Amino acid sequence: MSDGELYTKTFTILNELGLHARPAMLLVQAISRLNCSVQIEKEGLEADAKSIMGVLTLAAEQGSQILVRAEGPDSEKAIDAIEKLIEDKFGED
Amino acid sequence: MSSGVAIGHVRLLHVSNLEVGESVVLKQNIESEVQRFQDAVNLTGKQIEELGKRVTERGEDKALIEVLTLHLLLLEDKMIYDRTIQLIREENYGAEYALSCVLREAREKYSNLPDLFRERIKDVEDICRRIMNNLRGVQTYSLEDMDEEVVIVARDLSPSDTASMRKDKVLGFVTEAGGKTSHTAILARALEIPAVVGVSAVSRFAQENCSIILDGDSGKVILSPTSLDLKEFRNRQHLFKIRQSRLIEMSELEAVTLDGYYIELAANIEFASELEAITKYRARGVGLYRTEYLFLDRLTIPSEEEQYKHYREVAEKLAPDPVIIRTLDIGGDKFAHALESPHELNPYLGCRAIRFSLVNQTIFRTQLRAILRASTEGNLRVMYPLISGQTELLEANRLLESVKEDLRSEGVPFDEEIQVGAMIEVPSAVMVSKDLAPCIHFFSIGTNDLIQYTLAVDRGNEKIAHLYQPLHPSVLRMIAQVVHVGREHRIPVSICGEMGSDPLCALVLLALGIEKFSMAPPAIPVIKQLVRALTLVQVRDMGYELLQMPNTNQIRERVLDMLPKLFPNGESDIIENIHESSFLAGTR
Repeated sequence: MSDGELYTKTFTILNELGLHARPAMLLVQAISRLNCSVQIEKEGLEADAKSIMGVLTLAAEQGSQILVRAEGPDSEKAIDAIEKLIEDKFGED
Repeated sequence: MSSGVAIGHVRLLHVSNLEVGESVVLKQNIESEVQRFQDAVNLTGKQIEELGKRVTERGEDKALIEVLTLHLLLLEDKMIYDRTIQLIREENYGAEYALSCVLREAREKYSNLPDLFRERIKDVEDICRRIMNNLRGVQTYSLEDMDEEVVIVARDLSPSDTASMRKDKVLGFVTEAGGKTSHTAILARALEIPAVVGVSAVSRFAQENCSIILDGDSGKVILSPTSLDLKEFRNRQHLFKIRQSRLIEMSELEAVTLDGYYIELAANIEFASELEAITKYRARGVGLYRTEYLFLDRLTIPSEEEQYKHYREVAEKLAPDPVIIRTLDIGGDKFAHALESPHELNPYLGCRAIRFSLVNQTIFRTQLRAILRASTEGNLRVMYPLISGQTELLEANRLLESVKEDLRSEGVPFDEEIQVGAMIEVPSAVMVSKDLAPCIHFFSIGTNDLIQYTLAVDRGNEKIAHLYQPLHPSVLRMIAQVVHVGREHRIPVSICGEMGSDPLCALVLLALGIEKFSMAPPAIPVIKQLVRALTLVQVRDMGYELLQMPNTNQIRERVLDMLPKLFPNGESDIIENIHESSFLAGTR
C-alpha cells in the first residue's frame, strides 16, 4: 500500500433494477482506465469492480448494501465516480 | 413452417460447439498458444466493432448497440481473458479447451443468481462462441449483419435470432430443430419469410453458397437443384404470389358466412411494427399481442414509459377495434438461453408466464401500469397467460386492482372498464373453467400449449411431431367444454393458437362453436375465404358427432368426407387448401 491510498465506502443501491447489465457496464466503464484496483463486497461475496462478469455475479438488487474498496493512486477518483453513478440511479427513470 | 417459396444461396449459420474435449499443448508451444488466443480475441473485437458500425449506419436499434458494447467489455473481462490465458500457461491447456473451461466456470457462477442476472450468461456464451469460431477459423455470421440476399441454414435459431433477422436480406430459412408451432416457426410466419423447420441434418448436407430451394407449403428443401427444379419452383413462386394477391384483394370483404354469421378474425402480433400487416390483411384488431418480444435482446427491461409508447401506438392505430395485450410470457422456449437454468429441468413446467410475473412483481406491476395508462387511447384489454387455477387468477387480479388504485391516487387516467381475460392453455384451467369465468371478462384458448400439455408432447421435438395432434379427441372435448362454460357465463371464448390458422382445424373449431379467432395476419385471407364459403349451421351440425369420435384419424376422415356437402358450390381451391392443410392435422 506504499504507493497508493486505500479508500473504502459503503453504498446502498438505489435504482430499481439493481446492478444489472446496464448499470454494471457504466460502473466498469467509469473506472476501468483508472490506476487503482477496486473491489466490491456484498454479503461476504467479493468481486473485481473492473470485471463486468464479477459485478454481475454479485446480483446486487435495489436496497442492497455494497462495500467498495479502492487501492492505488486513483482510488479516490474511483470512489467518487461510483458514488455519482449510484446517486444518479445510473440514469434510470 | 411459413408459406412461400424461397430460391437462393445457402448461408450456413454456424453454431460452434462450446463443449471441447480436453487438450494440452507442449511446454515449448505455450506462448504461441497464448498468442493464438490473443489474436482470436483481437479479431473478435474488430468484428464486433464493425458490426456496431453497420448497425449504427442503418440507424436502428439502440438496444442492439448496447448489447454489442457489453460484449466488448466481456471480451476484455479478467474472468474470461486473463483466466483463459492462466489456464493455458498453468495447466498447459489448448486455447479452445481453456476457453470452454472458463465458460463452464461462468455458468456455475451464474446458475444460482436471480433471473435478471442469470440471463446475462447468454452474452457470455455469445462472446465465447465468437472467440471459439475465430480460434477455429470459422466465420461467425449474425443475423443482423447479413449484407446480401441469402437462405439461412442452421441447426437452430433462437427467438432473438429470428426477431433480429433482416427481412430484406433473408429470403428464407431452414432449421434442424423446431416443431411446426415452435416460436421460430411462429416468428417466421409473422415476418412472412418462407421457412421449413425440423429438417434433420440439413446443416451437415448444405454447403456454403450452394443453391437451394425451399417450399414452406410442402416443407420441401432441395439442395443444388437441377435446372428443371428451378423452373418448377420459380413457377410455383409466381403462382404463390398471384394467389396471395388474389386473396388480399378478397380481404376487403367481411368474414361473414353464407347464413349471415360474422366470424371475428383478429391478429396475433409480436411487435408494434406489424401494424402494417394488420391493415394489409384486414385483421379485426389484435387477439394476442405477445409482449415478451419487447423484452428480448436487450440489457434492460423496457421502462414503463417505453412499454406505454408501444401499447399506446397499437391501441391508437387500431381503435375502436380491440387489442388484447398478453402480459409477459417468459419461459418455455422463449428466453431459452436466459432461463435455461440448471435448476429448471422442465422449463415448460417451470416458472414461466403468469408464474414468472407473480414472482417478479415489480416487472409485472410496471407492465400493468403501462397497459392501464395506454388504455385511455383505444380499446385495450389485458390477458394473463398460463393460468392454471383460480388462486393464481385472483392474485393477478388483486395486483391489477392495486395498480389501478395507485393510478387513481396519482390522478393518472385509465379505462376503468378495462376488460381482463385468462388464457386457457393448461388442462387444469379447462377443468376449473367454470370457477375462472366469474373472475374475468373473456377466455382465449391458447391451443399451442393446451395441445402440448394435454398430450404430453413437446412441440419442439420433431421425433414425436406425429403425436402433436390438434384434432385429438381430448383436445376437441376440452375446447368444447370451455365453449360451453363461456356460453353459460356469457363470456366470449376465442382461439389464439396456430390451430385456428389451419383450414381443416378452423373448420373443426367452427363446428365446436368458436366464433372468434386470432392468428398470424398472413393466415387471415385463407381462413376468411373459407368462412365466406360455408353455412355455419351446417358446420355446427357436425360438432356433436366429432366429439363422440374415438381417435384423430376418424375425426379427420369424417371432416374430409363432409367437404363436398359443406361446400356444395365446389370451391375447388378451398377444398384443396383443406386437403393440403397437413401442417397441423398431425396425421400426415
